[in-house]
Amino acid sequence: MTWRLPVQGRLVVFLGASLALSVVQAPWLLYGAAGVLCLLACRQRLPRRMARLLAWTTLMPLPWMAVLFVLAGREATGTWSAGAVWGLVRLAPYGTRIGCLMLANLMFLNATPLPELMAVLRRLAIPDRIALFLMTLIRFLPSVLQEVRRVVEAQRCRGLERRRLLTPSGLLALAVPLFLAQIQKSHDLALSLEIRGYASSKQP
Amino acid sequence: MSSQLSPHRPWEAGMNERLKPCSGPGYGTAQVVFLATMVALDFAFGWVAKPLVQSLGLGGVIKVEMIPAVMLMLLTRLTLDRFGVLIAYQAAWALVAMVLMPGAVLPGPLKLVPLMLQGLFLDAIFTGCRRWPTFRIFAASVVGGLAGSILVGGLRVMMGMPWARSTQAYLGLQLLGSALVHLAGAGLALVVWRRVEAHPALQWIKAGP
Amino acid sequence: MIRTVGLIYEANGHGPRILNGIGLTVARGERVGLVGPSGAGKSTLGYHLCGVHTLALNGHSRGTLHLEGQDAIHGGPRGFGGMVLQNPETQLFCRTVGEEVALGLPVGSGEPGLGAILDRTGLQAIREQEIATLSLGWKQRVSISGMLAMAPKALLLDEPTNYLDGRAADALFDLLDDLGDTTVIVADHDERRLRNWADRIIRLEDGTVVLDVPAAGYLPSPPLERRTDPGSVGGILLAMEDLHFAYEKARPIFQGFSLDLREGEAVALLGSNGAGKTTLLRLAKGLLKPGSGRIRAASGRPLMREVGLVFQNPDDGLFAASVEDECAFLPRNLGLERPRDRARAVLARLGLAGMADQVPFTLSYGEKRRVSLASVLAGGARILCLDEPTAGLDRGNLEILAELLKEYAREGGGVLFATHDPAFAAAVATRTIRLDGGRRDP
Repeated sequence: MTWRLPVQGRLVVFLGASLALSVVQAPWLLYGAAGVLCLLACRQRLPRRMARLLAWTTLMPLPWMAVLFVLAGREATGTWSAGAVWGLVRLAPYGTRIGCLMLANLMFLNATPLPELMAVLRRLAIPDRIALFLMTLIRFLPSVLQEVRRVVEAQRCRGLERRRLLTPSGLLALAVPLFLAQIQKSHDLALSLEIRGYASSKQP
Repeated sequence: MSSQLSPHRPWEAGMNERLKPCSGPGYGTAQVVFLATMVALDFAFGWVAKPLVQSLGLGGVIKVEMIPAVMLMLLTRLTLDRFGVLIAYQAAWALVAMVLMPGAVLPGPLKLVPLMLQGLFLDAIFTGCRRWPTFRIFAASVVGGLAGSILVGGLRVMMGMPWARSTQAYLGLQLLGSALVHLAGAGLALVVWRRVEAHPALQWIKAGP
Repeated sequence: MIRTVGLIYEANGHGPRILNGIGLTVARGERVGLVGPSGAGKSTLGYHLCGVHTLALNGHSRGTLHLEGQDAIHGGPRGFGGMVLQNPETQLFCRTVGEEVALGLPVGSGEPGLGAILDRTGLQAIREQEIATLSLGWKQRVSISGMLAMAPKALLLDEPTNYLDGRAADALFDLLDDLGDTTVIVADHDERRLRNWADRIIRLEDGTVVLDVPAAGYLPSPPLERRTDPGSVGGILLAMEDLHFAYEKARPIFQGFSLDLREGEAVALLGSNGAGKTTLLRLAKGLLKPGSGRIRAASGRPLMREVGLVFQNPDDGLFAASVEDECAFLPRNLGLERPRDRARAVLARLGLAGMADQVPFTLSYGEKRRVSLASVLAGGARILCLDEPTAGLDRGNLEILAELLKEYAREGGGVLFATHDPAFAAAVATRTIRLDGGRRDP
């Protein structure tokens, strides 16, 4: 059972399964894999938000994909009816593959909380710089999101309406303060770390 | 960080080691931190931009919400002007996206392939065209963007999308959209860069160890 | 312990001299306050005195700098000095208090070392608490502890009270009083507080020491003149009636709060961090909607148009290629005629006409504050809200700001500002309101 494996084992299984799902050609293998994954997902009690994400990613593009595949089938067979069958027969394994890759990813995330993953990475003795990089990224993601909201609010107070936030002038009004904020933060944090000797081989 | 520096010892131990930014090859502490915060900013910007794009009905072939992402990536490269920055950036983005946006680009770890190769194209052109500072921004961005789209399209075909006129037309539209987005991102990055490049803290980070 | 002779520092090696031949000595365990106008070189001198200048700065230092008898002009000895910057948010790296403090500990210190530091700085009880949940005052304390963990000989704090209310600032200086024989150097604009805490005050102007005296003999700049005239007050500009607001249901911020802002008034909101000052300003601007109650501008126009809000950090908004462009941004967005003319007029009024073509990021902090204010005034709002407008400002800039706000009110506008500075409130406000958890104190 995947979720009883240690984290390293889960990581290996996940990566291996993803690789296999990406390259396997036989449709019946894909359908079989989908069945197994669905059973495991049910046992794992995949949270509702993950199930919604899975549905959104897999089902939402289906109409467009169906049109493309049917058009391709028309081109291959010469008729619409045969083309539709041709297309949908090929859409099924394609969609299944996408769905399986997504489901495997979600199951891995569900079974492996981030702190566990970080602990494994620490034990793997990855280079200092990479450890610092990953920890900074995870540590500052929430605060950077707050910064973005704060700058958006500040510029809205200067009359920049929502619908203009993605125009060139709007993007400049957001990008410049945010970029400079990261510059300043990097300066301050690096200083704080290096003064405390983090430039040595110690890891946090 | 350099493994050449010894572990921290208290002053009383009589170490004569001078306090300098971490030395040796590779990135300094500030540069590593900067790279990480820029990837974080890329995500944060996307989280704010994407719902906005959807609420304004701007979604479509031209992924407008990608323009800030392209701009931030290029600004990162301009600040840390060395080969490998964008390969690292894209790799980091892909890894974090596997956790935070598992369906982005391609599902699962598969997204690592086109993103890192895209980073390679970007880095190669940035480094190879160093003598033409403005040209390289646009060239790297557009070529990198096209390369990324071609790679994603290629992987989709490998996964079973038929190679027919309809899908070719669809992928062609994606390429066009990508080129426009990357062109716009490059233009904005250049404008921002010209405004901020004299900032003392930015110069400090550029100088590195 | 620290000795400088003819210390010179030039930015980027060829720029203007930030330090201009400084000579002084600092003894072990001394408490030193660095004062002076913005741009005088206080922070730069502080970095040199703690030996962290080669990490923090990008320029070129010359002259003599000896730290514990060792030549340090090209870099201080590892572990000699620690530094705590203004904004604690950007200096803290780890998830919990204990982890952050442990980061600075020497290799092999283990639990006894960590426990000792946490006890000393009053953090033992919260060692497992996540740093993100702490107030700014406590985050500042964690920053200090993280530096103390490496047992530095000298500790620099660069404008540490900018983000703190009075109570937190008092607690901070109580802690700084209790650091044994660590030399502590504090650069700040709060001269009175420094005088009460330090052994010695060094005043810098234009990179030169102009005064170096025992703290007891230092005369701080007199506070701004207390306002005596109530001004003439006109009709209501902004009416807040029976406001109820909460971010979380269980912790309401306002429960039936009312306030009228009139023409000619300058109302100061006082209170500790978390009292609701910023929330009230954001409600006034229309960024937040009250759960119940009403806020309306007398003109009937939307609050987003009628109310100008100047945020605490000017860097959150500055982005344009020039100061003039920055000030034209709001009028352009509002569709007002001749935005550039409006921008120029406001800049002239604020004494910034000469900077119209400068890039905003090259300005000093006080100048950025004024540009930020100008960029809001250019929109022609009759109601001006300011969030902590005095943080980080020196005496000169405080005077300018005080005059600007009084003039704005005199001309028929209404000003509502949140501040930790009771002296500034006394100098500017026609009325003060003390908030305590959203309640108005009598």
